[in-house]
Amino acid sequence: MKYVKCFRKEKNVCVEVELHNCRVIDVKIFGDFFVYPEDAIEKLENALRMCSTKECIEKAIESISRYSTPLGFSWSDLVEALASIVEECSERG
Amino acid sequence: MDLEGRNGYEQMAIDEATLELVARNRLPPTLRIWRFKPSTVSIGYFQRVHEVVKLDKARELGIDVVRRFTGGGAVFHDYEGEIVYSIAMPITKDFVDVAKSYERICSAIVAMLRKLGLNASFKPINDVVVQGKKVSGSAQARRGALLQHGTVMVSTRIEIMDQVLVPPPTKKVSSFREVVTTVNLELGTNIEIDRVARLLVESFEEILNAKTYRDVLGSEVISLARELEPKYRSEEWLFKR
Repeated sequence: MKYVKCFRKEKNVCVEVELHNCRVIDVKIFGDFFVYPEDAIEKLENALRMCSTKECIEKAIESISRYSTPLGFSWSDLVEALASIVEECSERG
Repeated sequence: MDLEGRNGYEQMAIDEATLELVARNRLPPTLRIWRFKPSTVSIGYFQRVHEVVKLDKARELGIDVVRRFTGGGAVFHDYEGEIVYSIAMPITKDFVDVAKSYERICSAIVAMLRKLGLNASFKPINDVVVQGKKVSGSAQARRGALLQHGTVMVSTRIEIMDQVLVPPPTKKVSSFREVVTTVNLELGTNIEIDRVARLLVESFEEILNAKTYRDVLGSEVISLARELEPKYRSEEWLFKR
């Protein structure tokens, strides 16, 4: 199943997450934001695969936040958006 | 200065080539003033094209659609009413901080608009506004050097913008006219694109404390841009996200 969540800080950010048994199969992060370097987002999308907990999501984001800078949102905003999708799935059972 | 214009695929390829060559010290810091011909919609690197552009309408109106290599939002570039600047330069001490570098470079646009008598100001992250409405937006990429490109809406047809762009859901507007303006609308007169271009170059010289000289695109830029252009023309790139 695919779930989409969008939020707006200074810029618009959407995450589309495909889950199987509440585990991330695929993620796409899109919107009118900026990230430097740009390829950090593709690396993050790969790092998020197989995550099923907020801790795993935080770890994936931490791995790219060391060398990349978002503009228009913060990494913690993104953690919250992604974690809420995974956690809502777990709650639904 | 290339006000005659080229299509968006070529222009994006030239910008990317310029950034690459400045980063490799094969090209000095470069300011380019240009236009999209034909009119084009450019979308940000991270955007989904079908969510921000009415593709069928764009096709019907003969408007090209291209994905940029820079982030930010979708922009309607009206050949008749807009100029674009691109500046590629090394990331010197004053430009390390990304947010501050946007403000510094955009201050040239603010200065140019003030010379025309408009009360312009920078609106973080990447906009210049007059009377609270956007008249210019910019986007920057960094790869060993920085390239910032942006638009100045001189007489952009906002009614066409309304037809081809989908406003973000957070901007609850019935027309972009509520949030976007143009130089001519604000001045109440028709100013020539050439004059805006000249003032913009002058303002960049002042803000960056630099002297420009006119040149044509070098063979190395043209050659690298030709290699990059097929990417910008490809469906794979346009529908990347």
